[in-house]
Amino acid sequence: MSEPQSRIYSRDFVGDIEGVSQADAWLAGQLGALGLGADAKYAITLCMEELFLNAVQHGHANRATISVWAESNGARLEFVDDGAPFDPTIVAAKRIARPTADFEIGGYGTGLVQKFARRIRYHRSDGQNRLLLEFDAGAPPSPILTRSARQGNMVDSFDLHAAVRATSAFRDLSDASVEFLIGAAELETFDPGATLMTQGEPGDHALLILAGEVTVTADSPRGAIPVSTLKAPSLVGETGALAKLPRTATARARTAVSALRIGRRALIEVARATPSLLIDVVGRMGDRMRKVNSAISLYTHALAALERDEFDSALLEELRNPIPDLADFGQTFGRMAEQIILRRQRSDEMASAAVIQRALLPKVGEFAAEFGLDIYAAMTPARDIGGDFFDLIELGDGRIAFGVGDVCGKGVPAALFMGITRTLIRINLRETPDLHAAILRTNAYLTNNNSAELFATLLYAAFDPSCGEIEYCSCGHLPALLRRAGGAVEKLPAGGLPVGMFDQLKPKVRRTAMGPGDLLFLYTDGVTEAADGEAREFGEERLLALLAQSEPANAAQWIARVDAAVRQFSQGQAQFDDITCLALLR
Amino acid sequence: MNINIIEVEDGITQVVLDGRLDIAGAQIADPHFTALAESSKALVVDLAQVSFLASLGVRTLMLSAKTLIRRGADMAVCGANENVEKVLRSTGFDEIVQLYPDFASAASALRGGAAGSSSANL
Repeated sequence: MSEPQSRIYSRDFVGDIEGVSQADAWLAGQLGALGLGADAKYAITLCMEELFLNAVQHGHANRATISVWAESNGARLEFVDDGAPFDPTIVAAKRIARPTADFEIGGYGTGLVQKFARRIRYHRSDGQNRLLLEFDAGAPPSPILTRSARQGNMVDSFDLHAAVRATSAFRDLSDASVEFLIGAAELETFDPGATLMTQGEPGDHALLILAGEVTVTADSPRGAIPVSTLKAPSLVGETGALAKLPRTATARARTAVSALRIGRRALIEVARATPSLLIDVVGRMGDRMRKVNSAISLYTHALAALERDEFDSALLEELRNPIPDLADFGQTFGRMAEQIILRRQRSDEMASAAVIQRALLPKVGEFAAEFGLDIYAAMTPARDIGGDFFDLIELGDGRIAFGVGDVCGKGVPAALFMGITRTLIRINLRETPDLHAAILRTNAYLTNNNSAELFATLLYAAFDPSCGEIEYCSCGHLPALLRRAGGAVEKLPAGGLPVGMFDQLKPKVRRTAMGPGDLLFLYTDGVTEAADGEAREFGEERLLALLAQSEPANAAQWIARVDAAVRQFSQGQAQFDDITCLALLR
Repeated sequence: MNINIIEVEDGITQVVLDGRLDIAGAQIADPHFTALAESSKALVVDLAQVSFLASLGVRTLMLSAKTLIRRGADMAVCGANENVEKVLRSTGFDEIVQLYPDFASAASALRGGAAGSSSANL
């Protein structure tokens, strides 16, 4: 497939008057192939000539590179020269303001460029002035074609001549060759959506698109990848036809399309007479390969950056505004850029959520020292941060309260919900040292002010150090484990409903007592649901067995043991959920 | 670029340019204009057949205008297409030389002495 709409014509010229003159002639030829309106051609030619003359006469440029191409919303001219730095966008346009005999002869070029280009962008890099000019496309000369072209009607065939010559492959064809081609070709029409060529099928003809637009896609097992959109006049499938190769892409009519079907034999015949046709085909193939190569390199680069979570702004800019050569791949690159931005936003969000989550956790070491307790708690946040928390609260009646919770959800909303839940319970408990009342009030507040439909499971307990009595309340949380000094492990009754879901909550407060050496262990599902390489979960059994072991330890050591066991179990696997443990040893 | 110089009655010289007044075109036209500016009494530059004109072409016209004004001779430009006229007006050339839609209107203006070269205004 070939002749994409955004084909770029580019050439180097020597920086002298002769070079400018050559550029004039060259540009006239290229503009014809771009199918632009007369005004656009005029404006582009004028701007090129003015810029080049300036660069030669004032910038003393040794060479200049000129590129032109068409885009959906107009045409573009890129002018690069190695002359002295000069930014024409900041120069005031010169104009004779009133009748006078004392006017200046030169220096009007820059003003004309400003007048004729829709937009001018300038930057200097690598010792070169780089100008990108945009132009309105204007109305292209429309090829007036009807079915009567087949009958060789004089008027229509005259327009056909122009259409054939408008493609770069056939530009240099003799009148006779054009005549021959038209004679050998057949006019075909396609409805919108119709397939012109199918990838993989043998190519025995080329299509010269006379009217309408064609989308070219590369079909892959993962779906069709847009390659380019072609506008009339353009030639499709000539490479396959000439080389007898299967179609490299699929072409579909985007609008109603009329096209000349040119058979392989006719193409070869014409190519024999005009070798420049073959040179053009090979040239455009090379051009495509070069573009594909640089697209692949940019894509690979971006992919590697995504994998490493490195979001270099320059790379992002390059993806969003690919150089003209890679315009065909713009859509794919755009998606890549979106992914990168999304990832960047997410990782920013995760980072701030992690900060919130950590900042809200109480300082367990200070708390334990203050109350002379052997209590310890730890939370290992998952990479995609969750909403786990633990808390330690002095109740003011000689008891202390502590608990763990798990907010359903991830990211900043979950972290905030966690913070609110924890704070509400803390405030309510300080007001009245009553687990039942605190949870009821917290739930009432959360259900009335919960637009995000988040909820949390909780397990809170109040401990009286003087007698070892434990009061505890579960709201849909995993059961607390009580390890007796002898090593026997009990699962304390659990149940209840999470907070934040229902107006009517009936939390059940239960009581038990801890003897000296007894260990109370609270945890979240991050412990039991940690998975190994074969997606097996750590599970409650393993946890119970671990706690049953006889080796003595303090609260911190018990948590370290659990942590180590979970880590060893799920070795190398990503941690999907926060892991939170709280242990109290009497 | 083809140049056709026609001596019309009343001392009016009509210069008919045909083609693109780009670099190559200006190089061809320049010597003719230098000669005409030094010699003619009233010069009408007919751009009806000029498809392209940029600052180089304007320069050619301005050089002639300067000489003609200095000599007290007249000048007019006619037949410029839309883009050519845009160039002439953008540079302010129309401040020193009057533009006319066609040769007839330019010639009659010069004969009337109404508005040729702006020498009358200087």
